[in-house]
This record gives sequence, structure tokens and C-alpha cells, in this order.
Amino acid sequence: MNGLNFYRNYRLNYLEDRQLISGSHNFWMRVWMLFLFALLVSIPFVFESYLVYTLNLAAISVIGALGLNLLTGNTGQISLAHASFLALGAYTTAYMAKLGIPFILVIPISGAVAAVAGCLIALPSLRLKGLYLALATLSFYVIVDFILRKASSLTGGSAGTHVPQPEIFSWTISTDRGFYFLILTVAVICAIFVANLQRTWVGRAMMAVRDSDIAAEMAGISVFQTKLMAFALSSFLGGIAGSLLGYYLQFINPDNFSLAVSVAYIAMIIVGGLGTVFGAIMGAIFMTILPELVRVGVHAISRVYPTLDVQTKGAFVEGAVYGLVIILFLMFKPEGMVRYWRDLMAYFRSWPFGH
Amino acid sequence: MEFFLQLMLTGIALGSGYALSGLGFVLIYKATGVFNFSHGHLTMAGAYFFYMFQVQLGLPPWWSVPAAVLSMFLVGVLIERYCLRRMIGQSVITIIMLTIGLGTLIRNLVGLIWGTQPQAPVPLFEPGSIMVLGAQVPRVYVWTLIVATILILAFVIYFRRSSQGVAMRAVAFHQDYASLSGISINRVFALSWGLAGAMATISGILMVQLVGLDLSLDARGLSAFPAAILGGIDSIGGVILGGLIIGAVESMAGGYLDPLVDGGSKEVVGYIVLLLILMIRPYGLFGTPEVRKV
Amino acid sequence: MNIKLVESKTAEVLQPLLDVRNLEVVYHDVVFAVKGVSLKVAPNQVVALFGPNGAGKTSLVRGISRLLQSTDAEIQNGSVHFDGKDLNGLASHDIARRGLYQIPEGGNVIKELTVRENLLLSQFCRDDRRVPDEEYARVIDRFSILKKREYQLGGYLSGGEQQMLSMAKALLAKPRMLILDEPTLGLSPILVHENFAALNEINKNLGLAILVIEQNARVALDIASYGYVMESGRVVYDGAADQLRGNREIQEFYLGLEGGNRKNFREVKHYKRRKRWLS
Repeated sequence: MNGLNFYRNYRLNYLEDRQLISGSHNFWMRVWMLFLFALLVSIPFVFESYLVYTLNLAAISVIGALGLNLLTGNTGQISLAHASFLALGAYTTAYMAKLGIPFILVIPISGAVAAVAGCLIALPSLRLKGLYLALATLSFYVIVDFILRKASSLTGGSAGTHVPQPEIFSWTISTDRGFYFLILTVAVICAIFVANLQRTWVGRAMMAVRDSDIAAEMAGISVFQTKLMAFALSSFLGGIAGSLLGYYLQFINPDNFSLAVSVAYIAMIIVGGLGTVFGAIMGAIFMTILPELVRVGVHAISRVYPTLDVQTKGAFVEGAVYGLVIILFLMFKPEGMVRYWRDLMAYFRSWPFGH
Repeated sequence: MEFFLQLMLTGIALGSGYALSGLGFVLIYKATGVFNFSHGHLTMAGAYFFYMFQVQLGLPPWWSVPAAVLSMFLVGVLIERYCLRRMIGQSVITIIMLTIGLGTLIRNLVGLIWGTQPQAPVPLFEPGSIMVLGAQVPRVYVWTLIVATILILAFVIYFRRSSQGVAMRAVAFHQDYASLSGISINRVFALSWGLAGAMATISGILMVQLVGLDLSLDARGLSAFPAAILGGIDSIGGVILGGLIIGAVESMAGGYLDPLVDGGSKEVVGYIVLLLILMIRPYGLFGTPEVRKV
Repeated sequence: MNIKLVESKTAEVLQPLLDVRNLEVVYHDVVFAVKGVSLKVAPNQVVALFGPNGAGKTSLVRGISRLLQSTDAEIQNGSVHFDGKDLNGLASHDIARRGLYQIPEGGNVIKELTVRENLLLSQFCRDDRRVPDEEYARVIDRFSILKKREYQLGGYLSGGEQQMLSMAKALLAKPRMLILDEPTLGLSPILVHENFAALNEINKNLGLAILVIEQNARVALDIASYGYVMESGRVVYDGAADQLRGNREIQEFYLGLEGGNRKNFREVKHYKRRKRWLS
């Protein structure tokens, strides 16, 4: 009987209702989660380092996507500046790591620096909505990009700067595997944090602001505080993601944080499913793995048809596929991959009576 | 003083190109309510089409220009028909993202077909400069100003006087009511996207005369955004004025600020102006504020 | 009195101007809003449509005018014929151009356009594609408040003025038939009477057929010659205006007579008997 409760939709008691992951009070559900956890932990030992590298990048994107999802999915504020917060986190990390500060301090502080910048951009968001806000964030991005390229003494300018490896008490993380565990830990913590946040009054206030800010203000929610909190939290997570990226890539320059990166993050949360934690995670993983898949495909094609010279134009093919995926998802499945998941669950739930 | 004048005049000429680009962009916004983030990319694609007709296919310039314009008109209509029509009723974020995705696709397709090397189409105007008001101004700039002005006037007359213009605005503000008044929404959408594509192409061709043809053209096309917002995104007069101002400011920045910050200030300046406008007067100089009820 | 009786009989005899047969409207693929409704409107006739909130009246008329795309609804079954021609496959602007003009709930004033621009929008429904100046002047003189606000944005008009503007737009569009969805919503009683007087005038002088959805049954029945009552997506009662006025159930539910115990229409004997025949 308990086994069939996997895909149940109704709750029988308050304990069930309070679960963060629905059904986790269930013994078999816990077994399943433990299995997944064991799977995740064993990946770097089983698979080759290219896959681990890809997964690491995907996990970093997950953190960034969770942040942007808080801002855009939950609070309804469109932001094209997310890459700038990653940049701020990364450059702060570069600066502090060179001073020899352990990573356990560097990462949160980088996040905090990005959060402060996020509060700055919250100010225009008070008066601007939708499209105008997107443009304001676009301006913010351009300005930050300009500063990063010009302040050569701090940032190394357009050429970029080197980031030392993360260390704490003379223990450095230098292998893909080591990074995997670091990033995974941070990602899991962030995911739980964000999922929980959605259920607190902060999360509810954000959703109220998204749906009808005037009505929310009249209901007693301070729209200013909520937007401020949303920008701060989302930039904090972006800063953490940027910090991890900096540590991982070991060399950063402003091109790592271009507008395309902001666009990529927006694509991640939309393709995944706007407003849901699960969607952000799925979207981030999917959109990070996609270019790699295309690259593999391009390689394969160039080996079969060497004359097509697809190799050199590979970047364009990746970009074109990227854009095409965004377009197709938005045209045919605007609710994102979460919708596929829910449809799947619904099918199982009503099996064998589904239609 | 001559330096200032020279900068001002080239800036205005450049600005007229921005204004033309911005108009096409504002047209889509006014008619369909869609903020077309891919406008810069369409500009670039139009310029490359022109290159294809002129150099690769060898057509004389006064054939290749209309050919490019017509092709992009068609591209615009096709984009509207197949991508945007099904998006009616979706949220702002979704549609903006769709145009961003479209822009990415277009940019990469262009790069795929024509490669990263800068191309060299045959210039349309003779090189060299002429004296205007005591300052040396390259001929290209003067021609740009003339052509852009003519086209802008033609557009304004069409939009203001014709019933199509009112129809476009009605559809932009409330599709259902416009439809009930007998306006065919699909026709209006198709027309506005086609026109926007055509205008982006012309402005792209003009820009090619000024700055050459390469893959960074889409970023330049992006300057239409500050122009449109500065003027007020639903005001035609506004976007013209906005374009001129942005062009002038960029030119000034290039002349006076670049030496101080070692280059690159032109692009930023446009966006700083944009940010200031958004903070102070988000609807722009002439835009109409939204009438919002809870 | 007599004239109205004759008109209701001729609805059966002459070819109806608007002929809706078994129309079914479904929202989001699952919500059955209109469950097979048939109604007829003869030329020059005023027909009223009553029903409680949620009965499907608005869905019905939106289905007739093919306005359903923006609310994720679609017509699953049934047909609509206007002036003898099937409206299947036509878009809403085509239907408007053929002379079936609808004023939706809340009026069809576009808030960001001025009053004058709103009025000039009617040119798209007309055959000559322009609004002649004399007609424009005549209409705007009829509604004096509009003349005062001719160059103001439509959004700044009050609710009653917006309804007036909608009606003025309708007049300028020279339709054959008007569909009005709750034209008196939120209006003061004086305005309600004025608007309905205007409607009556329009019907008598211009010969327009009118289908009006109205909660205010008393006022509607004053000018209507035939009425339909809808509930839960079906027509549960229809008849000539006098019959409706004299009917006890209608009196209770819609005219507010005999206050006190409000019965559910479904518990009423006639309804049950009729339901057996209809379903």
C-alpha cells in the first residue's frame, strides 16, 4: 500500500503537508532519496572527468538559476543583469583569495558583496515594471561591464585575472572531484534554502508582489522591502555562483560574464519552469548540458563530413541551437520542463485510467 | 570649436540612423505591444543580406538595397506569422524571452553563414568629407542624415495620417476591442513586423556605410533602445528626438571622454543616459504614462 | 402592447437575423460553460438574455463574436448564422464588419486613445472605411458629455461616460445588429434609464436588432419583445416579454417581487419538467 503512495497528491495529515519534499515522511520515499543521494555522491568516482566538469558547471548554474528564479519567477522582476552579480562574486573571490582568506569565508562574503550591489539595483525597481525594469538592469549590466574592463588595477581589465585555488587551513581543492563535492554541497544548501523560503512569509510576499503589487501594498506588504529582499537574495546566490565559478575556472575575464550569460540564466528558468525550485534546477542542468551535447554532435559531424568545416563554426551552431531551443520551448511549452514532469506524474497517478 | 561642431554634426547624423532604427522598433511596440529585443540582430541580418545581394550576387547597389529591404520585410512577416502569433496572450517575460531567443538564433545563423571576418561591401556614397557650417564632415554622414530624414518623414506621415496608424495603436492597446471594431489583428501584426524588418534593414545599410560590416553590428543596433526609451517608447516624435540626442551624446563622449578612459565610452554613455531617463522619467520625454487600475 | 406581440410571433416566421444553434463553449478544454444553447433574433427585434452570474451568458456572446482566444476557450459544437451565412471559421473582426457589433462587458473603450480616436475606430466596420464628418458631428452632439471630452483619453472617463462612448462607437459603425453585455453594470439608475431609452430609440429609428444581456430585468423587459433565461449554461426558459413578465418564477428570481424565500430555480416545478425535455 505504501509503495503506491509515491505519486499521491492528497495529504492525510499535517505532517505530510509540512514536508518540504512531498512524501518525504514516507519510508520508501526516504529510501529513494537516499538512493539518489548515493548516486550523486558516487558520480565523480565512476565517470570520467569531462562529465564531472560538465556537472560542476551545471551545479554552479543551478545556484545562479535558483537566485534568478527567486527574483523573476517569484517576485516577477525581470533582470538582465544577473551575469553582473556573478561577475561581482567572482572578482571579489579573486581579490580575497589572493589575500589568502579561506574559501569558507570568501564564498559567503562574495555573495554579500553581490547582494549589496543587488540592493543598488533594487532602487530603480521601485518605480519601474516589466520592460522598463529589464532595460534598467540592462544599463546596469553595461555599466558594470565597463567598470570591470576599465578598473585594470583591481580587475585586470579586459584581459582578466587569475583566481587562486580555494583553500582552508592548508587544504586546497584542486581536482574536479574535489570541486564537485564543494559545489554540490553549496548547491544543495541553496536549493533547500530557496525551497523553504517559498513557504515562509517572505516567499509569499514575493509572490504577492509578482501577481499584483498594488493590491499587495494595500494588504500591508511593504513592496519596497520585498523587492529589496528579492534583489538582495537573488544577487547573493548569484554572487556565490560566481565565486564558485571563479574558483573553478581559475581565470576569469569580463567575457565570462557577458550579456549572453544573463540571457542563458533567464533561459534556464524559463525552460525549466518559472517560479519553481525544481524547474530552476532542471532548467539549469538542461541548458548547461545542451551546448556540450551540441559540441559532441558537431565533433561527430565534422569527423564524418570534414569538408563542411563545421568545426570552426561550431560556436555558432551551439548558439543557434541554444536560441532555437529557447524559441521552441516558449512557443510550445511555455510552462517549461516542470510541465512535462507534472504531466508525467499525473499520468502515473491516474494510471491505468489516464486518457 | 570646430572639433565640437564636427562631433555634433556627425553625432546628429549617426543619431538619425539610430532614430530610423528606433522607429522600426517602436512600430512593433506600438502595434503589437512586443518589445523586440532582436531588433539589433535584424538590423545586422539586413545589412548582411544587402552585402549578399550587392557583393556575392553582384547586383548593382540600387537593386541590392530594395532586394535586401524586401527580403527582411518578408522575414519580419514570417517571424510574426510563425513565432509570434501563437504567443498572443502570454506574459511579458515570455514574449521578451522569445525575442531574445530569436535574436540569438539570428545572430548565430548570420555568423554561421557569413563567418566572423569583417566583410567589405561596396560603399554607396563617395568617400571624403565636405564642409558643413565650418566643420569637416565625412560625406557618408551627410548622406546618412539626408536619407534617414526623408524616410523618417515618410514614415511619420504614413503612421499619423493613415487609418493603418490608428489601427496599429488600437491593436497595441487592446486587441479584443480593436478586433470588435473590425480591425484585423493579424494583418496589423504582419504589416508592422514587416515594416520594422524593412526599416531595420535600411538603418543597417546606413550603419554599414559608417562603421563597416561585421558581427558587432547587432550591438550597435542595440543603441535603438536608449533612443526609443529616451523619447518615449510609444511616441514617434520622441524616438526621433531620442535618437538624435543619443547620437550626439555618443559622439561627444567618443570625442571628449574616450581619451580620458582609454576608449569604449561610447556604448556606455548611451546606457547611462538610459538609466538616468528610466530613473527620472521612465516614460520618456514624450511617452504616454500607463493608465493602471488595480 | 400589440405591436410587441406581433413581433414575437414573427420571430418564428421570418428568417432570423441571428441564428444560434446548439452552441457549446468550453474553457481550458475542461470547463463546459455553454452547454448547447439555441437562440434567435429577428431583424429589428430586441431580445433580452437573463440569468444569474456564471450562467454562461458572456461566454455565449463571446462565442458568437468569436472572441474566445484570449481566454483559452473554444467552440466545441453548434453553429452561428448571421444574416443567413455561417460564421464558422471567421475571425472576430470579420464578424464585426458583417454588421454584428458587440459591446462587451464594461464597454469597448480603448483607454489610451482619445475619445475622438475611439469614435473614429468605427470606420473599420463601415463599407466606405471612413466616418463622414456629418455623422460624426451628429453622434457627438447627441452625447454632449463626449463633446466636452472629445480630446481626452478614454481612460479618464467615468464608467457611465465610457458606456456612452461605446454606444456612440456602435452607432457610427452602422451595424445590422448590436450585442450588449450588461450595459448597465455599475451605472446609476438615472443613467440606466437614459441608456435604455437610447437603445430603444436606436432600435425604433435605425431598425437595429439588439441582443442585450442584462441583470436588470425590469428595464430590459421594457424594451425587449422576447427573452431567454439561462442558468448553468443552458436556456431554461424563453418566451415573449409579456409572458416573462407574467411568469411567477421570473418575477421571483429576476424582478425581485415577492421577496423573502429565494428558491433555487432548479427546485421549481416548471424548470424540472422543462429540463427533462431539454436534456
